[in-house]
Amino acid sequence: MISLLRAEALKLRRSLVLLVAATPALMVFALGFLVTISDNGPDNWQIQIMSGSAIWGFFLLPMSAIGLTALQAQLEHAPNTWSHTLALPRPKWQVFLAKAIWAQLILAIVSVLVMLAGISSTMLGLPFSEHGAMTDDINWSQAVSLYSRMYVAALFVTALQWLIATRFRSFAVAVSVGIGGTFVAVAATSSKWGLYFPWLMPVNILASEPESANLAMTYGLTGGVVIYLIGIIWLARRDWG
Amino acid sequence: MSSPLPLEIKGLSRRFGAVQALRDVTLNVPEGSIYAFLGPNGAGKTTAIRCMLGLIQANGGEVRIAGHDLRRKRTKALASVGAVVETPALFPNLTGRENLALTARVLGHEKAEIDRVLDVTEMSHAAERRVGQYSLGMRQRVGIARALLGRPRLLVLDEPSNGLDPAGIRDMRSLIKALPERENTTVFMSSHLLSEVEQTATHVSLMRAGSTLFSGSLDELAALQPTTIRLKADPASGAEQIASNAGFSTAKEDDTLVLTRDEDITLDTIAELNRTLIAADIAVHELRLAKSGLEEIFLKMAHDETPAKKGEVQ
Repeated sequence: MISLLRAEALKLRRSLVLLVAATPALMVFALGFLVTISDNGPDNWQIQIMSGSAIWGFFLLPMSAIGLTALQAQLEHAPNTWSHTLALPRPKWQVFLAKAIWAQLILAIVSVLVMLAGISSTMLGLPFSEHGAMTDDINWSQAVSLYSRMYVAALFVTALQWLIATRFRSFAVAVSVGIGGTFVAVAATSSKWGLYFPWLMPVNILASEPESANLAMTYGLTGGVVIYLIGIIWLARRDWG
Repeated sequence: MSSPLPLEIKGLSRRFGAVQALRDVTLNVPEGSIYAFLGPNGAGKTTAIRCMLGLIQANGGEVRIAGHDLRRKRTKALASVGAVVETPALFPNLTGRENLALTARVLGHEKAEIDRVLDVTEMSHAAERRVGQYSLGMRQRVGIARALLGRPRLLVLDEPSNGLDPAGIRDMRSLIKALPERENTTVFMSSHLLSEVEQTATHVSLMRAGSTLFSGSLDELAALQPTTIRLKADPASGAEQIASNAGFSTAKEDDTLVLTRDEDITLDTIAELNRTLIAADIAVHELRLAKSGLEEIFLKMAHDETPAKKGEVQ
């Protein structure tokens, strides 16, 4: 299994996956800096962290899951390397598990980078802002907890996107489902069913009722694990080619 | 006890909806052979190879690689195989060496093994270049290099000469011919290039519409084909009459008479015919024994209604 993980790591070298992984953090950094130096910028860290994580959870996290899983799958689809990868003397399920682990690992790294980008951009912008300083200290444990819980809640949507991207050779299928899901999420925000919508689970972590936030994390984690399990077994058993 | 064959396929079948892609395919690949899997496009060659590598499930039949049943002991069976399926599928963002390193990591081989296979395929000079910049011939070579990692007992090559220019085809032929001895491996390759196979293979399996028409050595295949006599003489009509009187069936190909008969044709037969022609004052310009080429044999079998039953040598 370790050898497969190392091989999957090597496949990422010089790939678009790494470029796309850096994009959300750069966007959050630019946005955070501009908001901080504007007149309407937050004057305390709690609001800054909450608003930063809202953008991440509602929009950037699902979009990152869509883009990263699609690009990761295209590493095999585009050059048609499945016939080689799956003919190696390793159980097929291990090959797919290694890919799923890397998808989650990349998203975890992106989550950390986005959190740090939000905070560092604000730090950098504060001297140029109207307030000059925040009224409170950074609550690191709040930030880490928030982003971690969002990451767990996003497991469902990441697993779904990963499965679709791996199954279908066309990039368009995964991206269409992902963009469709994200747009439907906008409408579903006010619906009572929004709680069960995978694309909304990360942002539901910010729900004012703790039960809703806990449910989002439970559904996200459970759904993600189930989809990954079923998906890996199914992908390993189906015909390739 | 003799060691199991590198590849044994028994009764392999596969259906895609209404299409029977493989029908009871059976073949035994001897150790150290270059075994050509021949057939026109759509004959089922790639489907059979995909079944052999466990990429698709067969509906019936059995594949044994180095004695291991692919269905029951897939990883053990595949540990004896290196394969290049269809196009040499490589990661274009990686260098040739990195592509090999990917597989070497999974198989647990050292860096020296990568250098060795690069040397065998004469790709050391371009190993540090990205595969995206390679020509098709170079990609084929790196694909074969990757398949050779760990000296597999069976090397499976799917249409290795496809898309190559004449020089590339010649180089590929030389490489493939050298592999059994140099790498101590058995080569199983599919192709629709009959002349190419004739110059490379020791054994052949002819496929048509998912069925094997023949499986065996090239010598066995040749033995199944009737020997003919090719005769150029003047006057041709007189020669044709004499041949007919001697019990030959005659056919014309341009200015040449092609003579066949049910009994064996030997050199003595030719000598006797020659004497008769000369005695009849017929000028003999050419008189020789001829064996059918692989292309003729294949085309004949492919168009014959019931060839497999007559010609099968399993």
